[in-house]
Amino acid sequence: MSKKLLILAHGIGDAPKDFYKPWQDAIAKNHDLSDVVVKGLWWEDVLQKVADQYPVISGPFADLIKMGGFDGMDRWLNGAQAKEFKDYIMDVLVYVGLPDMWLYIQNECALRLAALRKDASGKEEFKRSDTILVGHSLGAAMLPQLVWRECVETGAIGYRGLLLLASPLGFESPYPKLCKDFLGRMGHPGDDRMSVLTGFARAWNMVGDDCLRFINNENDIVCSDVKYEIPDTGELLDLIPLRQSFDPAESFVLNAEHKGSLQWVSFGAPDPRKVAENHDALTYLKQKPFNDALSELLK
Amino acid sequence: MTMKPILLRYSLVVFLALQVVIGRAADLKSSLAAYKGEVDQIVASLAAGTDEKVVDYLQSCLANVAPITGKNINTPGISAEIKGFAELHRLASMKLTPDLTGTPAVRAETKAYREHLQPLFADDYLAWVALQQELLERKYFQTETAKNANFLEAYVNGNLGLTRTDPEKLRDPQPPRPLGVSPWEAIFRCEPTVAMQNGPRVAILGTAGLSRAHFPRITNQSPPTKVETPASRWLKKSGVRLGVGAAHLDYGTKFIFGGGVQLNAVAVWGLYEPKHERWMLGVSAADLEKLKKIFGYFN
Repeated sequence: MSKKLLILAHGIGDAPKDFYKPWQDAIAKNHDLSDVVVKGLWWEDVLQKVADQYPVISGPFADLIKMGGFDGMDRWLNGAQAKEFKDYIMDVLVYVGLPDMWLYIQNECALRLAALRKDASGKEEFKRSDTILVGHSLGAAMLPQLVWRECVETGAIGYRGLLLLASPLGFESPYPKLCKDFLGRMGHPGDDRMSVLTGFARAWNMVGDDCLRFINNENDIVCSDVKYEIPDTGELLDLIPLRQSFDPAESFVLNAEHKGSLQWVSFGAPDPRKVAENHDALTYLKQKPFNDALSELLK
Repeated sequence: MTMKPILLRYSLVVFLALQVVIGRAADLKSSLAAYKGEVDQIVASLAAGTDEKVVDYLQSCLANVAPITGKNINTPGISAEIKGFAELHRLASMKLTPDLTGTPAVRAETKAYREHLQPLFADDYLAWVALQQELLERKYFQTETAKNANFLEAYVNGNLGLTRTDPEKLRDPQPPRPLGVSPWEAIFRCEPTVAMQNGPRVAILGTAGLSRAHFPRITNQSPPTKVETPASRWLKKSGVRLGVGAAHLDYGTKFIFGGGVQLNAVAVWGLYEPKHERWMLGVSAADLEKLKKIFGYFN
């Protein structure tokens, strides 16, 4: 049996270069990794480089965003949480709102991913077909885009599997002409969300069973349209006034094209004080659907 | 160094280059032959009553191979043909129904494609990505004018037809948009300026303009390479600007406007002050350090 390569990609936040080590430890509790090499696809520096070049988190643009309906976050999250999730939204906006920068970040990640499969001398050490990709949060939007771009350019998906935790791929832009959403970036001009999802899930199904998994926590505002109960008032509030998750028709297509590709889990609680816990990567790695899918891919 | 070692060295370089070219050429030819051989076998072993859509799919996979069979990877323009072939392969699957993409025959064909062709095509794709990334790096990050870039510029440059990158043209090395990257860039920014009126005077201009990055020439081969030109090496960026602002003249602040020519980080302006109907020269710089030097020189 050939050695497998497991590549982990982080999401937003100040991920350090060795961010993947706690992830690796969590995965090792449920899997024998003796024939698996685990590496981290670190891209925080690229996001930071673009954010530094085109600051958008402060100043008048941030006020505009607030006017767009994100004020609930300020009101109901504590300072640190509000900052973390404002950063998240802003990272998403930089990533999807600046098309050339999206391409720049994508290219950089594609080249880094290719480098991770090679040894120090540049010789290919792991085939794509022995490489399993796991992404969390924004990393779970970057990876499917990267894989799909490569598939469109090369005619097939090369990788062994793709496991996406808390993926914001379902985010729907209210103004796609002004700012394409994640799925909008994946298609050719004129492709709609449904045709992109159909092609993507279909291409994975041709590779094999259980190769593609979206694993979303129903209490996680990044990938679910959960409404949080506001303490004291009992009011139910959607903190992000956009659609985050796939709609029922999109969910149906994903599962029809590749059985079981969208799976829901439930941890944490629909409570604004638990926003970070509901999105936690290490908790996602403990979920049964993730471990079942990884077991299949490691066979 | 005597003539003999030089000849020996060049012979070795030519020999190694030929090995690479011949090796890659053989890769494409033999890979196509191996893929075709396996798909032929799959077709030959199809059970009676196999769904016609599966048969059609496999036949179209075989038919798509014909135009590039026997071609070398170093043929100029082969990358575009590979892309066309890959596109046909991917689109052929869209004629299948979801229940057919997981059939053994389709998965066996996909396995053959992933084994023999996808890795070769992916290497070719990544070589173009690496060069495209270099052009994006030069346009948006490396030049001195990039220092004062802002979010508005990034948004406009990523969305305006003239300035945006077209990811669909990744394998087009020709101007006006080599590798899909437009050399044109819209500029909207405030720039500190030195106005020459009885010595250097401090001014500030709100400027709008268009600048052009000078890219290296890209060869149309696989893998593509770049050839630097004098403009790409030394000039890097040039452009034109219009500006409106204020200058500290005659112990007061005066309205000024004008046009300028940009060479790299420095723009030279013809400025007009309407109140006293007078023209003056001006110099602005994206890099404040450069402007300080200019100001210091005239003082």
